[in-house]
Amino acid sequence: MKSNTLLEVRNVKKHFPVSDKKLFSTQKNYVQAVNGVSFTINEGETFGLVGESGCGKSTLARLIMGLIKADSGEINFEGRNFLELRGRELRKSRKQMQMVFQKPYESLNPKMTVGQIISAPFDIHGVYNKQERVQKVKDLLEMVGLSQQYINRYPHEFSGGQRQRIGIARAIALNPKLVICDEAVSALDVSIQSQILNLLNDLQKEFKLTYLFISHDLSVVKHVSDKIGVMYLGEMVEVGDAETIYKNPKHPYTQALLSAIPIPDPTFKKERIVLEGDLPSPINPPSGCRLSTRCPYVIPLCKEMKPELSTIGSNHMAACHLFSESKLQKIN
Amino acid sequence: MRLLLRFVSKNVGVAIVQIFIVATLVFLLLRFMPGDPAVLVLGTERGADPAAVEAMRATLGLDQPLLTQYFTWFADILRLDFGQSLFNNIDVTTYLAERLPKTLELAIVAIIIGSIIGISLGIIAAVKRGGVVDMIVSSIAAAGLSFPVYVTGTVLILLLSLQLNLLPASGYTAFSEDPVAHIQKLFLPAITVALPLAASIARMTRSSMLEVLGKDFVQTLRAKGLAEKMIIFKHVLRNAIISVITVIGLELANLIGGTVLIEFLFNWPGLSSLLVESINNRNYPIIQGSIIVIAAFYILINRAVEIIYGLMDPRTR
Amino acid sequence: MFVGNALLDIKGLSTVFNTDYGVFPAIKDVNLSLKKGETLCIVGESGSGKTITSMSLMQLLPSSGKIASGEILFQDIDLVKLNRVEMNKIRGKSISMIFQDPMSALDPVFTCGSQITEAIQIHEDISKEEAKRRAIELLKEVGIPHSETIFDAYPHELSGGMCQRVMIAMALSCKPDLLIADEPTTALDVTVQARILDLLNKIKKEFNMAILLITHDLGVVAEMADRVAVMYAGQIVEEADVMTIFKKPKHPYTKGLIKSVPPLHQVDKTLYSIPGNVPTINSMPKGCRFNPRCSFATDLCVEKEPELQKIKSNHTAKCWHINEGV
Repeated sequence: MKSNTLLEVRNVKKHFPVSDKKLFSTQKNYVQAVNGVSFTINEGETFGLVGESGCGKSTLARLIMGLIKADSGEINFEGRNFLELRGRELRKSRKQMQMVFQKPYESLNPKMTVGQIISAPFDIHGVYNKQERVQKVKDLLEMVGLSQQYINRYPHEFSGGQRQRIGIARAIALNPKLVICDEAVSALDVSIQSQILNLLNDLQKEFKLTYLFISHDLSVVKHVSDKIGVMYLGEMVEVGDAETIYKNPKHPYTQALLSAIPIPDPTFKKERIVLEGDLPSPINPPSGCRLSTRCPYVIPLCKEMKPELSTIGSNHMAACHLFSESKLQKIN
Repeated sequence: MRLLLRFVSKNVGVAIVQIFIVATLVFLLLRFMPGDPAVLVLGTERGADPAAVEAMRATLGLDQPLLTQYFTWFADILRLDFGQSLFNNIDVTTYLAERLPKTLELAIVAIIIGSIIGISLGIIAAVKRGGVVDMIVSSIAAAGLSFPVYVTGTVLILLLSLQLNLLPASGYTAFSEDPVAHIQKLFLPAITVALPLAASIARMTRSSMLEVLGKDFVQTLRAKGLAEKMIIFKHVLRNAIISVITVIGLELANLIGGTVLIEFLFNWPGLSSLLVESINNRNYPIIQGSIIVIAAFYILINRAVEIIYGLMDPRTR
Repeated sequence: MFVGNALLDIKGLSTVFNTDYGVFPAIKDVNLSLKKGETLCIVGESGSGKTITSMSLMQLLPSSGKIASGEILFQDIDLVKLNRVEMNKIRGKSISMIFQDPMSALDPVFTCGSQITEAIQIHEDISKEEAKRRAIELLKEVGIPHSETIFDAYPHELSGGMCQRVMIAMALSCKPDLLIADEPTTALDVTVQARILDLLNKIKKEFNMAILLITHDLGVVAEMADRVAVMYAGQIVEEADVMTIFKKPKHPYTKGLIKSVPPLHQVDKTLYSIPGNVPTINSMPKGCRFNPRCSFATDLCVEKEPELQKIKSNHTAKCWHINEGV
């Protein structure tokens, strides 16, 4: 592991048992939400995690935060396996990882004032005395572009974009190393989105933050990310530098995803790669490669053997037989 | 279809288990109360005589080992043998068979009247929301729920029976004997029970309808050009009634053992009053039999509500 | 089948709302027109009034809303003057609408198929079997495999994309001349969105249908629109064909919107964003409604509401300074 690797996720799995309707049957079904995902994030960089509904990216975020317990795998944060920490060690680690949530109208406690929301992390971890807390909250409000007068107002008095700013202030209150943004701008209008993205960018520069940025909106992700990981049905199908992924996507799913984005330019004509059919059920995923039922380039091998995530270029990995095949051919 | 059958059988299975548990609790009730049950039954005077106590213990079957008692108890229940009344050796089953139908009749008639009034008022209040009608209905509903049944019942007796002489004040006449008298005597108690029911059903219907009216799909129905009446009665009501049926079912279940005050006020010989009388007399076999029957009906009605809910809302199956 | 030229002509439409703060205009002086077979996109952010415009058109406003003035001429009939019964004959038949969240837009206790047959039988006197046959045909037309099975399925058993296809099938059932689509793909994944948009384009050609598409996504606008109307704070601030709007926008808000979209190939990490917030219904700025956020605002803009300036025959903008550059 490199010295500046902040987070290393290794083969993390989470299968949720599904309640069965049978009265006396012992057979269990599982929703394979996250099925052996691995990737690393280096200090100071922004890792963009993209995928559509049901790909498992939100579950993965919660596994990394420890909000859900992983079934197997490792989550190495600052060199220590998060999953093996307990008690005080765990709490200390928790301070370094914070999250900004998707729904601005639901992620703030409506009965707490802005001041109380932002200083809640101080209460929980027992830092700073009363005056220091008030000062810190005021500083944080200023940092996220909100007036200090808002300290005693309630969430319902603010717009979506302003609430996200409050959520961000809360997330950076303890100077975390890693901030996970789970669809943090998805519920906002375009012009407000840009404001919040600019804010996140400024904060990253000032506090040397590392971001895991989760979104289904590819144009947003491309903009903020240094590295990008693409997920499909619980698995990571392609990882690489942001430029590389967008200019030269290799995995058929990534290609389909990128070609589906409507471009705000009516002169831009593009080739669309269509994925036929619907997303398979995560309870009963296809054997072999999970995209095999919909992939336009499917070959018989795809249905038999699951492709591993393997290197196909500098800082570029993809899980697809098309590339390991060509590698084999090159060797031969 | 298979999914449906599985759903229904699962519910029936649960009901049987629940009744089993209730019967066991009733069994344990008598035997684990403080003091000697035989003495309790006999009372303080007769309980002083050891020979009488011994005899009573034998009658109650308390001289057998516990497990034997349990199995005997269960075997009897499955044959619907609840023993005999302590005072006159008549089968408990006879008493139950005589009183249960009268409570059922009262409860069912009251539920039907209450539902018709309640649902209609609830629909009107929801559709004409915020208007005068809505306010009147809500006020009546609130009043209906606030008055205790014995107050309503007494007022109705005073008014319709004693003052205006329209209906008999109390009593029971079998339908087979005199149908008109039967209905006349059923009327007041049924209405007294029905009024608070109508109030709570109206409130439930109103809020359920309003909730459904705020849903997105109602917008789609209007965009299709569907007439407002059809929207209300074919779609909104169909969605809203699911919660209302649940409430109706639970109220019915409550009535089976809960009509004591009414039965006393109107001298209606039902199961609830049997239970209370037996408690006063410490007539244990009848107490146990009544409790089990009341509990069984409560459980079965609750299960039936679950099944109906599943049938009406495809999302729960 | 209507054979005239202008299918829809909205003139001076203003809708007001009764709120706790008083009566406020939600949309003011909206002018729109649509030809047969044409797609007009109304684009704007939340609070722009685009949904209220479509609701006014369909006469589906909530009880607190009312059309204060203006005409909505559809096939030469003024929809504002129609009563509910007359409007019901048009809704679902000549004008159909599809909504944003397809899962919640369908009645959960009725099967998908029965909701489509209902849409047909409201307007046409045909037998149940005939309606079912047509419904299954429609499901096939919108690309649903196993249409007989889906006919008997309930909405909660389908994915978002499938539900939206069912909605579209339902909307097409009486061969409407105009389809209003209010953010039809906002709640869907991007690959699903692409296919639904393709479907809409396909049926537009097949049925020679006009589409009024409401969205906040400029990418969708670029793909679908023939013409675009940009709305801000209850007014149309610019209207033109799609090429002009993207290549030669005149209104500062339009320019700002286009610049705010994170471009796919930009190196600098700082995004352009329009400063400030959309005004609320009870705190509208005087003069031009955009002036507090506009970098070209002058005293004139604060004093007087701009008139609609005609730049070309089919390009208008509501701004005093359209001839000034960026």
